[in-house]
Amino acid sequence: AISEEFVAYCNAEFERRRNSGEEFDEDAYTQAMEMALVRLRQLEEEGMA
Amino acid sequence: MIIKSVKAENVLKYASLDLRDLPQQGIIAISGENESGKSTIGETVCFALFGRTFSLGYDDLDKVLRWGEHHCSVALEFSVDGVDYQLSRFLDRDGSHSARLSRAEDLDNPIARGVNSVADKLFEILGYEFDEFVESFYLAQREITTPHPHSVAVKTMAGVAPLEYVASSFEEEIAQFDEMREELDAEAETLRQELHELDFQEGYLMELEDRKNALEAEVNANKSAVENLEQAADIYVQNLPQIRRARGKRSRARFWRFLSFVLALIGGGAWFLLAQKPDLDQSRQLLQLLQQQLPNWQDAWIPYIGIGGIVFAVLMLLFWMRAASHGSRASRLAEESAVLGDALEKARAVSAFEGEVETTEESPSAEDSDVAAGEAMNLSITEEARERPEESAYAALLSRVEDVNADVSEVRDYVDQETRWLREQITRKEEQFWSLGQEVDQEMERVRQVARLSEVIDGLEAKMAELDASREKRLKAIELLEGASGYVSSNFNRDIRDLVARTLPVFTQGRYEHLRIDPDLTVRVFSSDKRDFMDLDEVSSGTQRQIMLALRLALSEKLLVRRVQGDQFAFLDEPFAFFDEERTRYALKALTDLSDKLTQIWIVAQVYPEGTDVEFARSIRCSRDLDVLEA
Repeated sequence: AISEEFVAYCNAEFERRRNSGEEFDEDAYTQAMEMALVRLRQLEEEGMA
Repeated sequence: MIIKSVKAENVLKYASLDLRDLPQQGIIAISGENESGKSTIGETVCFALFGRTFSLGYDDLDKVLRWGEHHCSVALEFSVDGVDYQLSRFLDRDGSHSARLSRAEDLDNPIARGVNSVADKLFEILGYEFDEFVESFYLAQREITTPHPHSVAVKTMAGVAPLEYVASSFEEEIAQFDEMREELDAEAETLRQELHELDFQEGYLMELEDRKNALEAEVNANKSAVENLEQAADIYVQNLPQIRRARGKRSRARFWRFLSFVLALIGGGAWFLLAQKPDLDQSRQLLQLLQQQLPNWQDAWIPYIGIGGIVFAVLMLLFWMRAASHGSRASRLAEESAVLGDALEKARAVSAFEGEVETTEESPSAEDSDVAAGEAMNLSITEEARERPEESAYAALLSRVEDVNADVSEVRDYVDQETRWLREQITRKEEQFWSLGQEVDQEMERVRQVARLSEVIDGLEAKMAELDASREKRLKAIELLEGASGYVSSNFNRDIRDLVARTLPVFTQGRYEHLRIDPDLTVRVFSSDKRDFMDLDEVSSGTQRQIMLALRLALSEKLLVRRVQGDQFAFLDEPFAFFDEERTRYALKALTDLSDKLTQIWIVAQVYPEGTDVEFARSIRCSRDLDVLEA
């Protein structure tokens, strides 16, 4: 659930930033999200999340 | 987790506690007067699971032992999602504390032994630890405080804990990156300083090599000039006698040619006058002269005079040709010797060595012999050799050489002096050439050092850039994780509020229906009477207790959803202490319908109101006078 909630938040946040007109480096943030997601899933696999 | 049995000896109040065949669903009602041991049952379960109770921490464990006893033990049988386990724990006054966890079907082969090992295995099976347990499924007596928003338990329930854990791990990595970057930066700065101290100038090596090559070309040209001068001088010296002989022969041939011409003219003229114009006065005078000089003169000799003229004419032509031949040879030799003039000019064009030869202590070994030879050559150079022939001497000689008038000794003296001077210049230039060679080698070594240092610095800067990129990436990840934490917390608060809204009206008989939970878990309750939200400390302690019970049950529900597999028990120690009988009846009814997963609910109360619609799955009656309880 947590990793899925994290992805849901990131998708909503990215959409908000895209629509806000502010400068948004989507590639960089997507890479950061993927890195955090790997860690979260690792925690989930280890039963710590 | 559902409790199936509890068996304890010498734990807190009880010498023996034995609760068997506990129902997996419904309310287990524990009742009894003050100090009859109702709470001890919950504390015993807590001790069995976590090795401590709500009120007694790990440092006060000896107080778990019944007064006067040396040791205590507890065995808890429970099931998680259909799998039965047995957990046993032993404690004595000497501080010996042991634990063992087995599957019920295989008691001889425990799956964990020892306090820590059992704790780890239990967390794996249950999905929660002591902190989460006492913030959710276990409501201790008289506990009416709100959960701390920053407690691990609440964060776990909200799902924020793993997000914060990952963010924290990124922060630690960033700190490591910063430390590594500082080290790399210091290393790079040291290397930059080394690079600066090398005082490297772009293009200096090329300039040195150009100078070296130019000097080498100049030395070769100088050597060539010396060689040409010597060869030209040899040719001149060799040709000069021949030129002079050829010129002498040409002069003599010219003399004889002139004499033959005169005689041919006289012979031809005499024949013409005597043979062709005998009537002329001049002819008669000539004949008279011949007759006087030659008494036997006969006119028949006149043709012989003509033949003599022809013979002298032929001789004149022969001498003409001979003079031309010697003249041609003299010219050819003079032309050959003219290279001396060019050689003199080229030698004169050689400039004197300018500057000082830099001598270094270290010379390339391969060039040692050459340098030694150069030094030996230097020793042989006399003061005289260091002087070049005067410009006037050069100009005079050049003029005389061009006319092939210069004597051999004159040429030899000049050329010897000039070549000695030239060789000294060549020697000096060669010394400078070797010096430049060493400088080029040193500069090449410096270029190699600069290249190596630059490469290392570039590598360090690339690593630093990589670290910066990794750092930036983690900062963005932390930003997202913190945003997600806020998002999850907000959802958590909303869910808690909705869950509380289901039970709070029942517990408060409709007087309080809505809660507002701030991000810091500050609870405010909406009063139907006052039509406004109130702080928790503005309502009565009884209402506070009711609100916190509703909140606790909501937190339990969240922990169930988040971490727990299968059905779960809850232990509520006197949750209705401030409820009147009617509200207690409502609350009991509400608890039975509270959750699909919170199926086994232990409730402690002094007495239960009569006339409740709820049928207890098990009733346990405690007594102040008894230290043995079986049910």
